[in-house]
Amino acid sequence: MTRRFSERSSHINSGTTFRVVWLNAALALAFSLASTAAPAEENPGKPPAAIEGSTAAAPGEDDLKNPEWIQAGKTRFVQACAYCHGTRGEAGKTRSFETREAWDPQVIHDTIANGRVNGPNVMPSWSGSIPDDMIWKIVAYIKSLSAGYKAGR
Amino acid sequence: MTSSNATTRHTLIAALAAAILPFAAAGDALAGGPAAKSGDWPEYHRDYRGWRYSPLDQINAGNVRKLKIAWIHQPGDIAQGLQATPLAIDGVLYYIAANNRVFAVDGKTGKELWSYFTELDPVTAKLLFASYNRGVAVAHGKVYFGTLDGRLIALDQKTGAKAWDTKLVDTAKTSGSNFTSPPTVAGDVVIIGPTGGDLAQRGHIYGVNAATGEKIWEFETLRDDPASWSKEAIEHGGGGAWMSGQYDPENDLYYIGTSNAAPDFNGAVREGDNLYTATLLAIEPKTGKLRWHHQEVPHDVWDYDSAYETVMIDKGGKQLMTHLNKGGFVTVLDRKTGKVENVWPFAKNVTWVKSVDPKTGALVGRNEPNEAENKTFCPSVLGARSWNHGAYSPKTGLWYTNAHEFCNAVKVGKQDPKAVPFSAPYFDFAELAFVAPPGGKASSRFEAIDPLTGKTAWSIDYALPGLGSVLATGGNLVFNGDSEGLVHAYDAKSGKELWTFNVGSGIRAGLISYKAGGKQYILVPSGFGSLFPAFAGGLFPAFKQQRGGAALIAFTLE
Repeated sequence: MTRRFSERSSHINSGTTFRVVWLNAALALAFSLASTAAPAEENPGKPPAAIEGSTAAAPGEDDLKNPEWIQAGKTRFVQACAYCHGTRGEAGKTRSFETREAWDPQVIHDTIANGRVNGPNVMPSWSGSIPDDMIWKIVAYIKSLSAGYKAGR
Repeated sequence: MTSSNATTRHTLIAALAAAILPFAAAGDALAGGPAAKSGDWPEYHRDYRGWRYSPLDQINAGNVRKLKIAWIHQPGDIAQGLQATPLAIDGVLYYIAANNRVFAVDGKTGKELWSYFTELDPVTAKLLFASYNRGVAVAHGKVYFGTLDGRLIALDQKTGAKAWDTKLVDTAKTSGSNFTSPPTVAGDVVIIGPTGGDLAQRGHIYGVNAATGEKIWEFETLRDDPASWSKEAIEHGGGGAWMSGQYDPENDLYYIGTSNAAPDFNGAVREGDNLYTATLLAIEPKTGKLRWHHQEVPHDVWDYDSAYETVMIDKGGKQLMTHLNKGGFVTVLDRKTGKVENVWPFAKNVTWVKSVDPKTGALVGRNEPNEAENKTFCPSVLGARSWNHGAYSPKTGLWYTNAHEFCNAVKVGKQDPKAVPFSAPYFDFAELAFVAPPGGKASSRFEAIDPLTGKTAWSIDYALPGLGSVLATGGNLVFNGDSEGLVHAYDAKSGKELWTFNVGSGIRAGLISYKAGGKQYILVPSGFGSLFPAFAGGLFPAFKQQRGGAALIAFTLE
């Protein structure tokens, strides 16, 4: 007889993490296969949950191209993101940010704010840890990385 | 000496040998702890000496080709892969998978006997040190593990029911410090250290009553002493001890290596020796009192933790331990006193120091990062090897370990520790890139070395840094799982590859061997993940092609 135990305490989150708790072995296998089958490049950062802490409206294109925004975003990116993603987004577990010229700024913002669990890859949620206006400046820096992608080929 | 005396002495030696030999033969059985059996893997490194050596010899060079999969157990969550070393006791396996899911599994069939899925505080969604855990400890009829949200939990070994749950670290208030490695059982005390060498916080090691979960002591890994830290710097000085320690019952000492100091690269804001960071500690487990310490990297400014395992070897009447630091040197010490006996270079590319004095362990010719220029340091913050452990075989006297050669280019950039985002490392760099050694190329290898002298017996080039922990067996075999998902069996003496099997996802966990129903098994926890492949993905683009997973795969002879 298989016995399963789980906690029942008050501080518990009832969110997404534990929806799969009771999966049987067959479902777990299917889940596992499905998760590994999707190439990371084809799934550019769709946020898993409702957006949290992103009350500010998306800035306009001019703001995202503002050199001061890009520089401020770079400084924070290097400090908080570069150890995993590389200074120019060349590291990490997905294709280089320098090749992502069509990346929707809102998707980038929401991925930073909400974090992302994609198969084995886990990125923390930075909402509440990095102010939202600074997240948008990081977006400006990330967008700047692919600005010369096609032109440079 | 007269002949009669010589005869007497000879007889005495024979009598002593007769008395000692049965004990020596039982030594393997005793090695894992008070009642460890040869077929068990009862603690993290199988025994306290850090050997990862199973005396089982049913599987050997002659028959290893006939290994077949007996069963597979899947934990169902592949976040950060599978990083644990499972334990095996009386034919039952105990392991922990992503997000603190704990399982007991029948070693013969893979049938799940019980599971415990820890319900975690939502703060865990904001952590850099997220999802993974390197193992559980089993003793006193309980299964102990640390959680991603700063707790130490004990489960009933037979049922998986929770016995107690003690909050030790307030993860939300310590920049994301938590537990990712197995606790160590030292008699009636369970000891565990948290992550946080890179975090703007102040780390401790905790001793807890194994029966009740009551905290008995805290050891401050940042010494509250003006010679070591200023009042300002100590509050954000990092420390902690993110790997598992080792308890030596004979000396009644708990050995643990501590994390680096924070901010990692900027020593200007934390003058002093920064004890006890990057230090080997010998702690009395009942009281938490420090018996001896040896700081491998005083005032560390390269992120060279002392976190990795020690390998304990008795030689020439001395009780020794060897220890690899991330900076690429192995220190050999007397483990009763902490006296340095030797230091040898493990890394081939070392630029942060000219040398280390083999008699004292003193650093000679420091080369430090600064704010003015971008400088290259070898090894990188990812070490000359990652935390994945080596294995030592008493039959060959060799230590088997993965290694890699690459560097990082760093320019210091000061940050306000209070402005560092939650769970982001307090590194203090303005520039960081992983680069090949100057004039060379980045490389990886798996090798067999004399652990006391560093003399290489054999070495095999790998395409990617090996990130799994090694297994040595009494069948004169060495098993190593690589980052591409290939499990290799080598002849322990010659390094000749005897068997290989593709498990489909890289190894970041610890391979073990155990016996169940009279048969020896090789257990491979497969499933790639962890932070290392992301960090190094720019320098080793092939890391991006490695697929994640999580599966416990048991091999045995047909």
